[in-house]
Amino acid sequence: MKKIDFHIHTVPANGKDANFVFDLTKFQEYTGGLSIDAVAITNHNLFDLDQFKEISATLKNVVVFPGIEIDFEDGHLLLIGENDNLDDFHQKCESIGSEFSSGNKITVEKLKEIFEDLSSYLLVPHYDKNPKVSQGVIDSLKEHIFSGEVTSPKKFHRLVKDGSSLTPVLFSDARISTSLNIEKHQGNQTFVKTSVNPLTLASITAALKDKDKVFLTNSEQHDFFQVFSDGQELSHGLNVVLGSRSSGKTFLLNKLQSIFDEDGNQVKYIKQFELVKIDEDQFNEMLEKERSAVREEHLSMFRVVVDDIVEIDRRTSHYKLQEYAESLVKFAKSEELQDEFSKAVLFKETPYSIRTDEDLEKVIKATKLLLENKTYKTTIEKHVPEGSLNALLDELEKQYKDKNKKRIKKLWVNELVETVARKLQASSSSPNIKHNDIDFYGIKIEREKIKRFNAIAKAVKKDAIIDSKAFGEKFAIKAQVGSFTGAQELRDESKTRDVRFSDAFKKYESPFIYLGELKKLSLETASLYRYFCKVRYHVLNEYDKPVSGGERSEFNLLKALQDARQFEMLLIDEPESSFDNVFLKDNVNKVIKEISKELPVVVVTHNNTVGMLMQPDYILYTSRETVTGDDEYYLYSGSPGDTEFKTIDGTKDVSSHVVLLDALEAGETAYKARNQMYENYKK
Amino acid sequence: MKYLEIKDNKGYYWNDNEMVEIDQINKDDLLKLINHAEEDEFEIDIYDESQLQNKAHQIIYQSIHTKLNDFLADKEQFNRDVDTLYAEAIGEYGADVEAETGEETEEIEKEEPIDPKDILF
Repeated sequence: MKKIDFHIHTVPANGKDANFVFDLTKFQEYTGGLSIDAVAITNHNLFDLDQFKEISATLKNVVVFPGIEIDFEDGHLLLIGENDNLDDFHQKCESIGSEFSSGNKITVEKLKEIFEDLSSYLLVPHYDKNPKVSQGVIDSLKEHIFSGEVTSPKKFHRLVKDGSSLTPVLFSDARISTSLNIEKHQGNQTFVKTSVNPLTLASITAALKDKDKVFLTNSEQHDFFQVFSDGQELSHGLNVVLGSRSSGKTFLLNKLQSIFDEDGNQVKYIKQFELVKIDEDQFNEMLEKERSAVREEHLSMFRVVVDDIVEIDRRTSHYKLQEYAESLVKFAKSEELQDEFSKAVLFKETPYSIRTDEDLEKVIKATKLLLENKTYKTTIEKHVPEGSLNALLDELEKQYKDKNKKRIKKLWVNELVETVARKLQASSSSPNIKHNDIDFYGIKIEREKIKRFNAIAKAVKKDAIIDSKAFGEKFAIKAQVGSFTGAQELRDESKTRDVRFSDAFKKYESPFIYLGELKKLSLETASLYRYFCKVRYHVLNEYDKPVSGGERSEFNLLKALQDARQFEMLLIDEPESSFDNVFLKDNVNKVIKEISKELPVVVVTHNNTVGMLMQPDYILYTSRETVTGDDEYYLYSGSPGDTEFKTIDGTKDVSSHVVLLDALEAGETAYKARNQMYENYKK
Repeated sequence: MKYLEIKDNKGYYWNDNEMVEIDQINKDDLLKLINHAEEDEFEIDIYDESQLQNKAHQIIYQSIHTKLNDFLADKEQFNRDVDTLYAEAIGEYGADVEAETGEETEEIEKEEPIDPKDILF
């Protein structure tokens, strides 16, 4: 097995990295400390030949490959070469660099043009890592791409078992600087099975074509991944950590968090007692977030309508109509005042009404979307050939241009008519006709909009349950929508004290008029959609009643567990310290077990209900032992069923039977005494 | 039915009650005409100067006729535009547009027009 890290930065890139100073000594410590067999230097759009030679000469017992991380199509691509023709590789990377600095995108075609024979290189796209190279682009290079980079053991585990995906690889993406924290990068490398010695790129590429030769641990098991540089592994499933007080259990969880939670969003860590500290106000605040989310979803389309309708001021239209009618009648009746200026046709000419064809604009946009989409390129091409789409786009754009020409001509005429009319009016003693921008079409559309808005606003507040879901075995969440029943509720919704809603509320049943009243209040226009319906959000217990204080904590735990599914790893420290056994057995164990099928879970516990009834996949045992007067900390591990748990170097072992009874049952004597007592009660 | 008519050298409009001489038209009447314009039976007499001797009627009739004709020429697009107005939201919330009588809109239309100084032209 060879441990490789093929994504390493040694030169900071403008705009992509915080500035760092490369440290060669640190690089030696990195590869030595983590026992890495091969690395690739992959700087952004750059290959520094001199630095590469220096690195190669300095890193002993490590094979160093030249590479580059290219801004490629819509994502990033690692391209790695053999280390036998560095000048040629350097020259090609120079071309990439100059294209990049000229602002040109590196496309599939450009890549082929520069590197010619892509089969000589290892190509590794960002696969489940941002910025991703889209599947369509990967498909177009399928003869040359076998593996893709991911960011976590969870993603690796999912893809390595997926028959249709690329072989996943996990690399550090480390910046080798003086301040590099080597500890944090242990566990971010990939193991490949190859017996070729010395290592060549070809041998690694061959291994990467076969998922059975790629692992995250030295022990060649896909269900495990290495977490510490000493070789310590964890299961991708459920890991239980046992051990007495102050033996290093929480320390272990903190260490895992530090390694796998690089950006603070990858590890969900439920600390001891954390959830019972949340009081009622915090609980309600937490629910408010959920409530807002449900409300936003329910009202998302209504919001768009309100944003549009809020612009309509019917009274402005009235004013324009009134002015038009009055000036028209006045002009007509002042026949005797008409002179040579007012008798000119342009004096009273009506301007063209001008509209844009929004339908046509939408169709053009949609056609462009189909043409530009890379993710579904293959599927689109299967049903609508690119040639047809291009022809369609040409024709639509031609129609658009024609319409636009006519529109521009009308605008030109309107402007001219307006200028001439204004001059005639200035010289004439006759009253003029105030057309302003009066538009019968627009006035009718406004009216239809109001009618439809009224119907929608009434529908939005109809009594309904818009979200209802069971939460674990015990809880249910219900989101209900309904009407506001008074001005006070509107004020509560606004969370302000100094806004009076009483006048507005009188018009609540007439949505457009009500909106007009809301506009008069000092509320943000963008928030007005919220005052049309009330969304309530309840957490109920198994008796359909609001939850009590203790139940709130239970709900919090289940909620935290549900949130954990979005993360890459879940750490839980002694859940039993805050919850009773019945709740843990009936509600929590099953959920944790389910989550452990999706991501690695590590649970620290002293509790037999949690520890054993969840049927862990892997057990770790922390121990503080006094050796020649000093405290030494040891970590033993093994699978359920093993008679012994061993330290990773194999030098120490403990009886699994003794560990389990000591940690979970307070020792064998207490265990037997308890059993005896239960038997006595039974009798 | 006829909403604009030329008769006996004078122009007339229908104010939802009777035919009225066109020089009596005001904004409310204009609004009524606009509101009827989408109806199938909406008819107007073509402007013909020779049939309309009254000079004041000529001017008013011609101006309103031109504007209504402008609208009628785009009636198809109007119907298309109306069909797509908020269609997604109507579907999403099951809004009953047919149940809207427009009475509320009329209520607003009875309000005083906005003070011109408040209009943002």
